[in-house]
Amino acid sequence: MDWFGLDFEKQLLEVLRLHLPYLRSIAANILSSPADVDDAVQAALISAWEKRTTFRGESNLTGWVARIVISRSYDLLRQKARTERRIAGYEPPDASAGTADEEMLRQLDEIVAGLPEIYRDAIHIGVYSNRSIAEAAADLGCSANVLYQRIHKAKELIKTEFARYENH
Amino acid sequence: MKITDATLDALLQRKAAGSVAPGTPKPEAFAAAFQNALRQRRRRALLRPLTAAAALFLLSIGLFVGTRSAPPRVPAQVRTEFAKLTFAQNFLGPEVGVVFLNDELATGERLLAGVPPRNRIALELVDRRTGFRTALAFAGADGDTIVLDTPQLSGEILLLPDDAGNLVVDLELQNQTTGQELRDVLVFDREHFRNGRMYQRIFS
Repeated sequence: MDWFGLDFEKQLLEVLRLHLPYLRSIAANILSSPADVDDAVQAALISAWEKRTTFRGESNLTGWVARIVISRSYDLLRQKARTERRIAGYEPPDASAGTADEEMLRQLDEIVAGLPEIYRDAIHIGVYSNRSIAEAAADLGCSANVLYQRIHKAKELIKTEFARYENH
Repeated sequence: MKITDATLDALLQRKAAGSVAPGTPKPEAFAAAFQNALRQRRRRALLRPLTAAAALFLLSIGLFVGTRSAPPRVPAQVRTEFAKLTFAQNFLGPEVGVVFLNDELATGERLLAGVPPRNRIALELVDRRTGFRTALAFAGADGDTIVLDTPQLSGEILLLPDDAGNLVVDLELQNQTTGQELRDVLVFDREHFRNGRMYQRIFS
């Protein structure tokens, strides 16, 4: 029994050694500053260690940690947004600011953040991360075929949400 | 706006093309920071049974003293909560955010670790619909934030002084065991701290 989590710590250190750029790139798709990216990855590693008894090997450890990085990155994003609102007083973003492309990217970020977790993770790991489909499927603990289906479904949900933006 | 498949694919490709995190920290430095954080958590985990035992001891003493001494200015229940907080804080160190949820200790991080946590707050939150009661006790400094991410409790507690000299406590917590969300903003006048009242908040 790994009473003090020492074996699991070694496994996480190996993931860190081999895949730190990958984990950071996932966080960088959500957070803008390098300091926040590193904070999110550190928080994810610590969460992974604390939740080590819940890892059942349904995906590889790197993929499991990658999904926790996504969650922690969004947590940090929400925390920073709350802090900024308290400091400045909340002002709705000026929809006319920035180019049309930048506005669409901003909307895409918001929509992806609000997707159900399996589709959100499919986008971050299966599309944004530039991993091969086989690697991404292994990270998510599913077959390549299932991952394709999740990505397809995620895109349908994203298109539906974009249409809602037009109607508001 | 109605978006075509081609436009969406182009947007997703732009995001994918930009997914290189700036900076290149060395894995060794990252690993060292991670291992240091784990050492602190192991230390807290080992101390937790001792702190719980000490809290129980203090509770017993508090009840004993409460039945034998003259009526105190601060109610016995609140004195016990404050004693537990003070003991746990001194034991675990100023950088640790100490929160008791229904007598169970949850620890996190205090963002103002260098400032003594002079504000000790004991709350009872009552759900109007279910009658469910949640006891919450924590300590922090003015302008402090306690960040929690434990199997029992996650979220933040902010302690912000307002212009009138009151303390505004912003709770954004989730009880991970029950799924209950504890979100509220409470204003404490400084008289509260002098009298050490247990503050009861009824919410629906």
